[in-house]
Amino acid sequence: MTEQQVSKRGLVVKGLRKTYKGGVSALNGVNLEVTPGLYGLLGPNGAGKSTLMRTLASLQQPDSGSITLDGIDALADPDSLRFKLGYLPQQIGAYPNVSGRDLLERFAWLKGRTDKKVRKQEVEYLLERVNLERDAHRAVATYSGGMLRRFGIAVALIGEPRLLIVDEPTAGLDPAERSRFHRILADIGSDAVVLLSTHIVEDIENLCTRLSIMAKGRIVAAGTPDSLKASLKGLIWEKEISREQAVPDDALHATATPYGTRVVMAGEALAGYSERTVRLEDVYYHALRNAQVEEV
Amino acid sequence: MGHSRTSFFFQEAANEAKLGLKSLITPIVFFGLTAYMLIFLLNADYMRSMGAVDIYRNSPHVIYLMVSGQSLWLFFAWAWIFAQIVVRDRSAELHEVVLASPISLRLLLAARFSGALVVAVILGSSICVGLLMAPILVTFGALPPDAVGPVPWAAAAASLLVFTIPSAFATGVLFLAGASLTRSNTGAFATAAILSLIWMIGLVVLHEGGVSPMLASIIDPSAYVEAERQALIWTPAEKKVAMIGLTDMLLINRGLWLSVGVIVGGILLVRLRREHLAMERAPRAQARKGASVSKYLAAPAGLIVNPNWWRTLVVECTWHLKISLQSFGLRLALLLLTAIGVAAAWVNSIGHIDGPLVPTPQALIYFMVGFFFVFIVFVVVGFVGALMRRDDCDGFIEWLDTSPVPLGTRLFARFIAALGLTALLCLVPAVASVLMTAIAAPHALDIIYPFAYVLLTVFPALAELCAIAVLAHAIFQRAGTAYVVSILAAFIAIVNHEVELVQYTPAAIGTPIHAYPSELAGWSPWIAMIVALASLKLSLAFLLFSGSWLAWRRGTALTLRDRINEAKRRVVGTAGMAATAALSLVFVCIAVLNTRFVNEGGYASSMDALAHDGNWEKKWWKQASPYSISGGEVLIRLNPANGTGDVNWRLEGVRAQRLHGTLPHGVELVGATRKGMSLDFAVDSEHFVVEAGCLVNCELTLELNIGAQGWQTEAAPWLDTASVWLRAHDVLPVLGHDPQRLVRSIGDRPLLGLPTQLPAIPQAAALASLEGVAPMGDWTWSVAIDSGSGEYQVFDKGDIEGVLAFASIWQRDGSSTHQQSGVEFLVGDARQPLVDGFAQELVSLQQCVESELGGTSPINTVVQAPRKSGEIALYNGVLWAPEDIAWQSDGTGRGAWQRQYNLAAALARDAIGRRGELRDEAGARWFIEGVAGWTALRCVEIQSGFDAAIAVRKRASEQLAEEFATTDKPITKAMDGDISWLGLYAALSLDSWGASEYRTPSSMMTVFEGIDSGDLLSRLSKTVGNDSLELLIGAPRSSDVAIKNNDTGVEVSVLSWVWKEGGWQAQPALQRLLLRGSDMHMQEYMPQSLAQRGVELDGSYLFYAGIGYERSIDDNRFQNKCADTKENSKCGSVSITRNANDQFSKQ
Repeated sequence: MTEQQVSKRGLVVKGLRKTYKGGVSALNGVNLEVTPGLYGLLGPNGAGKSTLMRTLASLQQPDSGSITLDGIDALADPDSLRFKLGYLPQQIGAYPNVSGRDLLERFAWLKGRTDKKVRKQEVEYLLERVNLERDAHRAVATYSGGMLRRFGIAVALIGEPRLLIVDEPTAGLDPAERSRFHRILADIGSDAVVLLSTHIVEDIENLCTRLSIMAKGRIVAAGTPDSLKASLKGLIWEKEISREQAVPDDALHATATPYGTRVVMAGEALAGYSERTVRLEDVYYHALRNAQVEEV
Repeated sequence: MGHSRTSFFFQEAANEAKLGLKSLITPIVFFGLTAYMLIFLLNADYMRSMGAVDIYRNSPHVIYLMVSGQSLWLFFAWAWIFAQIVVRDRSAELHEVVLASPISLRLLLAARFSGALVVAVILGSSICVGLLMAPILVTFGALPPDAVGPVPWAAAAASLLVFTIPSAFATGVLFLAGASLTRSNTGAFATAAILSLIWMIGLVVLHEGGVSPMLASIIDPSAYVEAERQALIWTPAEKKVAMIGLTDMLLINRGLWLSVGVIVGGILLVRLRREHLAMERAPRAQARKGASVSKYLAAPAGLIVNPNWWRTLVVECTWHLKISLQSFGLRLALLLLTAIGVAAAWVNSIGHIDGPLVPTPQALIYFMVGFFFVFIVFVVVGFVGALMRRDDCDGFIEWLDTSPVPLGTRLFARFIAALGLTALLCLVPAVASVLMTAIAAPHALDIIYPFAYVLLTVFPALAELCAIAVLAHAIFQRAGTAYVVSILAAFIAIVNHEVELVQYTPAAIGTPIHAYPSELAGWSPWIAMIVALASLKLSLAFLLFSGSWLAWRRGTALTLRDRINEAKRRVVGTAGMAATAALSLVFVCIAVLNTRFVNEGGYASSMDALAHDGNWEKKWWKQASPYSISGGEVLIRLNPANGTGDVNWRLEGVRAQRLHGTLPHGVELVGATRKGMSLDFAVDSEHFVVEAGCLVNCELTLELNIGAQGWQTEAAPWLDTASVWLRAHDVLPVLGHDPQRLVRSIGDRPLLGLPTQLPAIPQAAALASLEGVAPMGDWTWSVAIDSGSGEYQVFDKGDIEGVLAFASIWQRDGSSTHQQSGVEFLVGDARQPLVDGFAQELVSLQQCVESELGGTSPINTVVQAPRKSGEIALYNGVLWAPEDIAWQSDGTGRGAWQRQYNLAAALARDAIGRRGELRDEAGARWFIEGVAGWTALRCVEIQSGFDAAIAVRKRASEQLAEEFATTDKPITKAMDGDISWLGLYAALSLDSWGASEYRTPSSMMTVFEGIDSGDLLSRLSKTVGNDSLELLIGAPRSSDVAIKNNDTGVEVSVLSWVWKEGGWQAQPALQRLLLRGSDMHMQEYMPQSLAQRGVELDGSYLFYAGIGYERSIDDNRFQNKCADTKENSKCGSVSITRNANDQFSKQ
């Protein structure tokens, strides 16, 4: 897809910068081109993911740069962006004394769905879509974590957004809820731009067609999972060592196993190490190493 | 271990105190209150109204009142501080960690409570700090040096020890208990609300309503009622030095609340478990499956195009209101408040000190508003805050901020919902009032009036406070800070409301509009003013809302700069336009109100009014010259639709070189002629002089224009579109010089460029008539109304032989009158059941006054005059009986006796006025007020018995004590006394003197004999004797006789005072006492003759036989002991144990 096509149908972020009071540079020239589909955003804590998400969601103003969605300048005309935006925040609290249906309807009229009949129909549609129709009469405060997430996605989907920003959506969910949530996201990603920010590499690996890895406020790697993994083919090695043995200083990352520690190294072939099938996790750590960010 | 426990206790306490002090709320409260106190001290008008004319602004009595009174507001700040003991850990999600640690829970709570108590006391000391800083105001030149006295360290320390620390401890325990039970701030704030409610019931119902001041003093959690009870009777001299008295009631009060604190604290420490504090809210039981059914079919709706944001505004606003109404707390609050309101109205109506009252809507709603206002203000601030913070829930703020709905729509919907909630809360007094009237006086039921009254006068004020709360929540991200700031604003509004700190009505933000529609005059005289003031308040509320819009936080991680930049952007957008529009409306309203209140209504601050009188004295006083008039004719033409009119006043038999007079406000002298020839005249400071040049009898005509469009809040308008409630002094100048305009404050005179000593009063012939606008003569008068066609039709006229004073009533829709006992009654439907009793009482009182003074005027008409239209008075056959004085009693009990007194005094005043010419010369007011009141006391006794007269005397004593303590004019001599106390004092002292001297009021009428033989004082001297007169008209005197039964007999103590240098100074008391009883027609003297005469003492009263009034009548009554025990020998052994007092503190 050409840049011109992306700019007309998709999200384009150019040179986005944001420095907080105190000199912390959260975004340091972020560039992104995102077409419809699920797009992953990986990065360690402090990489600038949340700042980027909030900036894209019009919750923060960048110091410089540009954001366009389907050709609309989102910074100059944030209200137009908001019509096309769905946002699922990281935390969703227990809103007291209001049923899921009522609260969803409220967000529908706040989003501009002012025709009562259409609004009510959409609310029922979204409740069905996130499988909450049987619990819609219950107070949101009584929802479980998974139900709250599904409720959140229903809110985010009001008005069929073109851009859905999802921040750490599966944190704290049990496997069944997580799986259910993934299916919903995948469904949405068939038409809209879904920007998925998470720590969980596996989620991105399973869901996203493209991704970016952020570190120190900038994109340090981007592409499809396969292309990123292919770029490291033959360069990733692994070995399981006992707990008593020290993890080498230059290890890419290390994970605990039942009998010891699996050490993953990057580079040329190493004695005692076997070649490892590259995983997105390895790409992530490799990108961080290249960006000189420690996260072992 | 012991050491470590002690060490832990102090460390934890210190940590709690440190965290409390570091909170943003603490400095806001502390510095806010300190600054407020300093502003308070700068307000001369308020200090005058507190009786601080001759006292320092930082005098001890101000400290006691303010320190105890601020507790009402501090309850909410303290609630937050003490709630943090359990809430802080939960907020940080550390409660499980803390509670799992091996620390004694009791020790932890006790330590934290101690730390919180330190913070609470520091906050409570802010008023003291403000007062102690008063000298700084002198240093900066904001106050003159003599306005501030020595730093009142002792009073400040006493206030902290007596009020702040016990209150903080006792309520702190309750707040902690509330917070522990709910594991949130909610319990603590609910406790604060309940304490406020107790305070309100104590102050408004039990104390101000006179139901049981003692109970009020005991139950008030702040002890303010007791502080006020003590301070209100302190004289200015006492206010400078007084220490709060540790009275029985104060000790019981403090003991009671400390006991409550100790007991609740003990229970809390024993019963509270970690499990309770660690517990999470149990999820509600899930409803059965399939319960969620919608009639709408699910269907995708596609993209959103062209939303109608007006619809969003409506549904969002409705949604907020619906959610608020679903709140159990709000429903409970509404229900409880209504129930309490009905109960309070019942108690107030039946148990009122001037009751039982007829609970008419007009009478009741003023009480209900006063009763509820304090509480509703806090409830409004609380619930509006809850509404504004409703979306403060993880994720929801972000959703709202990423919604495309315009910020203005979102906020305006919420603001309108907040206003709706406010309106709902302000309807509570109306609902309670309607219920009470329906129960107790169904014939007077008027459903619309109470609702209209609260919505028009109270709602706009609450809307201002609501908008302040909205602004606070817009500015401050932290909910606690916003709540504290909005509650602080509410507190300031309450203080303004209670003590009328801001006297210029349009500037009284957050204070209900003062308006007094009455049954017959209706809304018409007030509605324009109400609408204008309400417009200002609502415009201001809208302006504050616009400010909220500009300041609102949209987005995350915002810095101050971000917010300022965003506000700048919004200024040039719709928010800025809204602010500009609101500001324009505010300015328009201010301009209109300024015109109506200041230019046309004559409002002036007390300092301006004083300066005005100073100028008048300088210019006009020395020009006083004698005049006499034989009568004349007054032709008044009124145009009610325009609020205008004119007067042609022909004066006959005028003898005056120059004729002076004082114009009523709104009346302009436009011409003066003598036999058709124009005369020169001058007008300044509402005083005029006409160059009459009448050395022999001549005829003058004064042409006057009337403009009655001005507004006043504390006086009923006499002219409006629908009715005219005219009295002569509304439209006619008072001829002659008016000595009441002299500046009598010795302290003020040099500041105004006047000599310190009051100037001599000129001869009586130069002075104004005491009871009319012109002296005795043959007068005719008529009033004509412009019916709209430009033609005037006379609707009322009359002839007078006497002073020129008349009243005339016109109603556009016709007057509905009916005859009773030969008198025409113009009264409303609600008072119809009272008319019969009223008429009978009137006939009896007329007969009484006739027998006491001789010659009374016939009464042709009784008029239920509007509220706030002055006192009961008889004008040329028309009995002017204001609704709020003459028609509030149901005709029984103390209220009826009080009404009898007022009616008889009015009839007596008229009878005295008819006996001869009385100008406003020295002693004249004392004479007419005193003799009229004395006569009235006798008439009450004749009509309703001895106990009734004692009850009236007792009430008068209480009123006098308050008036002496709070009058804003210096007290020197009774004959120069302010009308606020002169009448009662003169009546009581004459009553006492008359009983001692076997005199009756009729004996005083000899002053009218040989009226040309000298001034009034010399004639009075002949009548009452030189010595007695000196005492009667001299410095006020008081006494306190107290009877105490003990084992050896009856002990009587006698104290006596004279007013000197701003306070009561003790003086040697006479041995003579006066015995008065129901079956006694003669007076006896104690103790010499009592035993020998074998007088039945039971139920009799002992009074001081000197001149003055008895300050406390309750303890003057002989108890039933003799009758019960048959120990007459003991009763005979009456002894006077103390007959002189050294200092006032012995009382």
